[in-house]
Amino acid sequence: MTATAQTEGTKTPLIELKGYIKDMQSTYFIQKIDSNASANLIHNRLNFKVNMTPKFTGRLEIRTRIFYGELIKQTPEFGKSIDQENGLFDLSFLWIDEKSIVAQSVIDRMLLEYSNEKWDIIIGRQRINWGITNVWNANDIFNAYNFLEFDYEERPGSDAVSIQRNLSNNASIEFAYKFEKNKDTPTTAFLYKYNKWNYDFQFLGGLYQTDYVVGGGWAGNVKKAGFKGEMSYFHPKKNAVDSANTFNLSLMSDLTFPDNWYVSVATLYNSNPSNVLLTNGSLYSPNISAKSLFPFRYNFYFTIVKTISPISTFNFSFIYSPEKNTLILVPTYSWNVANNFDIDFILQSFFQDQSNSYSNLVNAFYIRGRWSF
Amino acid sequence: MKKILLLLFFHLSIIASSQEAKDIIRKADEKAKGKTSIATITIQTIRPSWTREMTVKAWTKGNDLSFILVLAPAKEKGVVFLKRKKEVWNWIPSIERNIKMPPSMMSQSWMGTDFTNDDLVKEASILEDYNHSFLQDVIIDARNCYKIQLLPKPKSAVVWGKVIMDIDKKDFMMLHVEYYDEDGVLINTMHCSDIKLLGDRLLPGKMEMVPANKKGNKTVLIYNSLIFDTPLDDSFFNTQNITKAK
Repeated sequence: MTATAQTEGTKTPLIELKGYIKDMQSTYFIQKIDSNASANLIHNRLNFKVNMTPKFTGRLEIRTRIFYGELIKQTPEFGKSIDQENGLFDLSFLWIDEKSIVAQSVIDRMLLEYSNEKWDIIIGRQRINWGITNVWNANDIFNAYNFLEFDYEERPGSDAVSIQRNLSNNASIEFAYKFEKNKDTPTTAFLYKYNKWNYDFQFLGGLYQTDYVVGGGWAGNVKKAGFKGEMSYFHPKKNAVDSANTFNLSLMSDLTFPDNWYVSVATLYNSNPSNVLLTNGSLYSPNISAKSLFPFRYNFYFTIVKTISPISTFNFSFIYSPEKNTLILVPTYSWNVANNFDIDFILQSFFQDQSNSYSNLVNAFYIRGRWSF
Repeated sequence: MKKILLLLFFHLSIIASSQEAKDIIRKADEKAKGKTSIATITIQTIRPSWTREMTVKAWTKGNDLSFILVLAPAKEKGVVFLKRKKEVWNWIPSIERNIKMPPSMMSQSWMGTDFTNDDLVKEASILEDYNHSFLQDVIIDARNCYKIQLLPKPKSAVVWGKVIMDIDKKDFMMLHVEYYDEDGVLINTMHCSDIKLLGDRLLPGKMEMVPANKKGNKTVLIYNSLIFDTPLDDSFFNTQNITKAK
């Protein structure tokens, strides 16, 4: 059968290894840069892939981080705060937990995969990524993430079983079951995808912890501009005092212009907002879930990217919510210094209405070097 | 009457000549593409102060279906571009997400090279979107060539105002191509060399794309291997296969 992945001429090695080593210096300051706190993070990722047969593969991916510096000292229980494990098995190892230095390794992928032309079956810790848009993913019910946490693009895995059946005409149906710590409230859902009129469409339905969930999304274009969206509706299984229906809708559009300019706009509506902003986005994982992708009812995102040359890019993003006029500015400069070496400069500045003034809550400045192998 | 006949004859000969010019382009195009092709290609982006190198494996079937898997550099390894007719998807392995690309992305540089995404997607247009005519005979690297002019058809949405191609008379290889904008200003020049047997066909193994107004800039494509006419089912070019191809 020719539709399988293998074509003659390429030999696949039994074990493949790729990954990176990053070093990131973070500095946090409020208004004045001379009163700051900083931390250093050495970050390694090892991705092993075992090609047992053309149809059976295994993956093991390990993320190791070593934190040190003033900011770590100042944060009480920093080690414990990052040693959170939501999966079925505890695969997080906190091997140094001192006041000024913390080292942790976590296995965030550990899976076996069987795939042929018709089926894809994955068992183990995996990323089930059902999101479509660039910032807020209402359909990403298995591993919702905080996009301000830019230093973890792989995202945590879920301990799950997923089974995908490929249908004709580029359509597929997928079933996934995620084991939650509380065994009575698993997340499990179906996803049906198809392609028509040059659009990708998807529909999902299932259980999300204590709720029923239905949702769907699309990816297509209006003339030259990309046009994507996704939505989810959560309805509590039991009517409790603190339970409520939640509806999330995320829309985005993007467009490129001559001379390598790119603009993207996105919006998120959340019917049941928490209204609590956590400003420590990248060092810790704030409580983000598919029901609460961002703290506010109305959220807007705008980004403009200028590709200065094939090896250097400037990106300016901002997030705005009318709730307390919350504004987050994120300028980023990325430079590919050599074939396998990158340096990024990232600033995140948070602004919000306080009781008597509009003020800068915190600024976080990051310089990150990355060597990929 | 004689004059009209003469005019008609002249007109017909232009049609005939344009048909022949188109046939030559078609032959060259079909020779370089085959029914299907599987290639590994090294792409060098060269700038006055730096160079970068990328290796990809590319599967194509006709003009509508193509699949490009990045093999190197390490950071981009496993990235896939899948094109089906006018739709393009981009698989990014680090986030395990397949992203549908907006049509306007087509005019952007493809992964930092001097090629645009459009160069990958709209190759069909050299036959359907242009009118073709002979200009003269030329010699390129000691090979006899037809010089053929391609002018866009009135309603076609093409990037170029004019394209001039030099095609080998004996072996139907595109050896030298000049791309002009709507004002007739030369923008890019592609030169092909290192002619050798690739997948049992005599073809250039090296293509250099040089932008006219940027000194010291160029992109070089080197074919490391090329296989033609391996049967590839259309389902190979499905989004479901985007994580699987090796």
